[in-house]
This record gives sequence, structure tokens and C-alpha cells, in this order.
Amino acid sequence: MRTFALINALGSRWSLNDMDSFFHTMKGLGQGYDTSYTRIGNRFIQQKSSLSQKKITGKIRFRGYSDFSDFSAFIQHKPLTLVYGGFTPENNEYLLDVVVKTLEKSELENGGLQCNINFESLGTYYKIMCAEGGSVITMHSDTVIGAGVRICIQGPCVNPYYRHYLNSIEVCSGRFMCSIPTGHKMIIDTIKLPYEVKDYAEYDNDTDLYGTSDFSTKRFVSLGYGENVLEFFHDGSSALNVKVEAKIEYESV
Amino acid sequence: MSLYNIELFNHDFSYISHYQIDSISYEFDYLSLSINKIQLPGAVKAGRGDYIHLEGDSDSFFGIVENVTESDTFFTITYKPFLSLFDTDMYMNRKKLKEISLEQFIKEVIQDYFENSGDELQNLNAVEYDLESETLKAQLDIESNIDNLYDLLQTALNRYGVIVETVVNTAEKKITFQIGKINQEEKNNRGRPSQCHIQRIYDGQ
Repeated sequence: MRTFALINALGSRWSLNDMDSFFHTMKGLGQGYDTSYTRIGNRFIQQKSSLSQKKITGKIRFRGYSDFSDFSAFIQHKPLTLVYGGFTPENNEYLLDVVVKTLEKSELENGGLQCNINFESLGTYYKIMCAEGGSVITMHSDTVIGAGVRICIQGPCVNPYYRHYLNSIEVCSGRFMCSIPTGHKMIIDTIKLPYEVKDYAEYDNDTDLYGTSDFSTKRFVSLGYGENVLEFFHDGSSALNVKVEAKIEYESV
Repeated sequence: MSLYNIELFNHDFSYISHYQIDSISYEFDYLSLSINKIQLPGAVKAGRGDYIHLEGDSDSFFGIVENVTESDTFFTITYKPFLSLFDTDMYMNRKKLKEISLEQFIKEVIQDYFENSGDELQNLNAVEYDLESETLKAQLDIESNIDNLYDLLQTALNRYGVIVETVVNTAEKKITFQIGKINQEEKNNRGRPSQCHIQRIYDGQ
């Protein structure tokens, strides 16, 4: 059975498959495209096509007013992430960052409250894939959408640089002229916008390192379909400890 | 999705700020100084005269920030091509054009105005020149020793096919002006506004 849940800004998870709050009659879970064409005679040349924003509608059945009230309080802690799963043999869960556009409050009837809810997506479905290791990290992406990554290099580290190979072809390299002390970590994040290059000390004190870029390098990694190999180096003598998180996105799941 | 990286630098190429967007439109016409615009969803530090670099998978553009405006929803940066630097009246010893090549003459005018002006705000950092041809006995109809260099560059293109191209290297923090002749086909394309008007919509997807 398909399963739905919401995660709010507090990290709390609200199941939408319980009898107290059951999400059903949903629409808009698939994909759509905004496409423009130029007409030449009877032919249509595709100019641009981009994935449409998902607008998911449905109903939540609440047992009573207090369940509705609790849910209403829950979704006020934004941002929200919709968790969608239960439809693959592996029971994978996929995430979708959403905002609630409307939550209608209905009258209590025999079956409880049947409340219309509208979500609007802030992206598309994704899952987070993690890999950790020394100087070489390999990740496989099964989607055609380029995946942003969050690279975490543990200090000590001097002038880190890296190369990204997609299916054995070098597609990107990056280099930064900086020193990361022991206990600190360097983050190069292309998942968030704008991209981030920072040195995080303890207690999340951070220093912007973007300006230490070697501007002749592309620096910002986006995983492609297939085998992605990331090789890391630095000018220091200690072994590197690197962790990579990738946001693997799908047009639909 | 592969995004365009927008980076802003000071006059001395020190990094200021950055942002990413998924598509840009860019228009360039050698014979008219078109202004381009980008809209960013978040604020960046930028000011008039800063250098802006827009880079995608296979495209790279530089410009000079003309204006920055902020609204509730967008942060808008308008920028001009580097050629706009020359759209100003400058001193030039017009007699020299009889003694040296057109390319050398342009180089010396740029040097006097942007390297030896005595004004630190006006001077450019780390300028290099590549003179790629030598056009002797050129005539640009300079009426006085004060003239607009960009107007003269238009004449240089139309009469002799000589252009100035700017290569900006943020890694090495230098600007190279390539001064030289272009071939006839390129000249035709650049010399006729109806044909040289290039507008490309780049989609980062």
C-alpha cells in the first residue's frame, strides 16, 4: 500500500495513513511539462521544456476536530516535506518539499472530517544518497536529472582539490586555496541555493571560503546518470576523510 | 540540473558574492552597447562598476554592473559589455596614427586612459594586450585630440575590420585586450547591425 507522511521543521513525522488522519483521493502525484514550440508548416520544433511544479490535491479524513487541530498546528512549522513510499518492492521512500496552499476545515460527519488539502511542490521527488570514505568516492545515479551534492571534507586539509568523472570522463574539477584545521570541516554544497563553500568549526560557527576558489576550475559538482567517481586530493600529508551526500531527483516516482 | 553560476568581483578581481540561476538571456552587438539583465531570487552584494561573470556548462560571459535594484521578489542586476569602458571621451594624440599602426594606436589610447591616468578608480588592474595584426596609414577622421574611443572603434571595424575583444581571467586577475583584424565574414556579421545582433537564450537544463 502506498504510504504518505509529512515531516515538519521540528523533524516530527506525521503519518497520513492512520485512521485518525488518512490521506486519500489524491491527484497530481505524477509529472507534467511546460513546453513551448515554434511552428514551421505542419511541424512543431520544441523550443523549451521544463518540469512543471507539482500541485498535489487530495482529502484527509480526520477522526475529529481535535485531530484536525493537531494537524493544523503541525503544518505551521515550515518547511514541510511530503514522504511518499510503499509502492516499490524495496519499500523506498521519496521526499518532496512542499508548501500547503489550502487546508479546508469541514463539518464533522459520520465518517469524521473530510478536509480538502492542496500542496504545491518546491522541487521534485528526491532521495538522499550518502557515501563516505577516503580520497575516492563512487556513487551511482539512476536519474537523468543532475544531482546536487554536499561534500564534507574533514580537517586537517590544505588546499583541497577534486575531480569528478562521469562514466570515466572528467566533467568537473575544483580547487580551493585554504587550510581547514583539525576539528573543522569544509562544506561544498550544491544542494542549497546559493551554493555554499564554508569552513564549519565547532558549534556551527562558519567562515565563507568561496573567495578562496581557484576561479579557473568549475568547482561545483552535479552528479549525472551512471557511475560518478569523485577523487579528492590536498597539499597536506594527512589522509583525507570525505563524506558526500547527493540529492537524487526524479521527475516522478 | 546544471545551473549558471553568477559571480561578482571588485575592480581588483577580489571576490564579492555569487548566486545561481537556471537560465539567462544574453545579447551582444559590437555596434551598439546593449544592456543585459538578470534577476536573482535572493540578494547578492553588487554595485555599479563591479565585474560580473556568468558561466554555464559551455558558455561564459563577462560584463560590468551598470545598476542594481531590489524589490520584494527579485534582485535585478543590469550589466554592460566590457566595450562600454571605451564609450567615453579620451585624450589621444591624433598625429600618432600616422606614425604607428591602428592597433598600436588603440593600445596606447587604452593604456593612457586605463593604466596611466593617475586615478586609481579609473585605472584597470593587470591589463595585457595582444596585437594580432598591423594596419598602417589608417584614418579614423579624428577631429580633435579628445574623442570617444568607442565611436572610433566602430569606424575601425567598418573601415579596416579591426576590433577589440576583451578576455577576462578571474583566476589570474587580469584583462587582456585582443586588438586585431577579423576575417571578412566576421566583419560582415559584426558590421551590419541587422545581422550582428546576436540574441541567445541559454537554458541551463
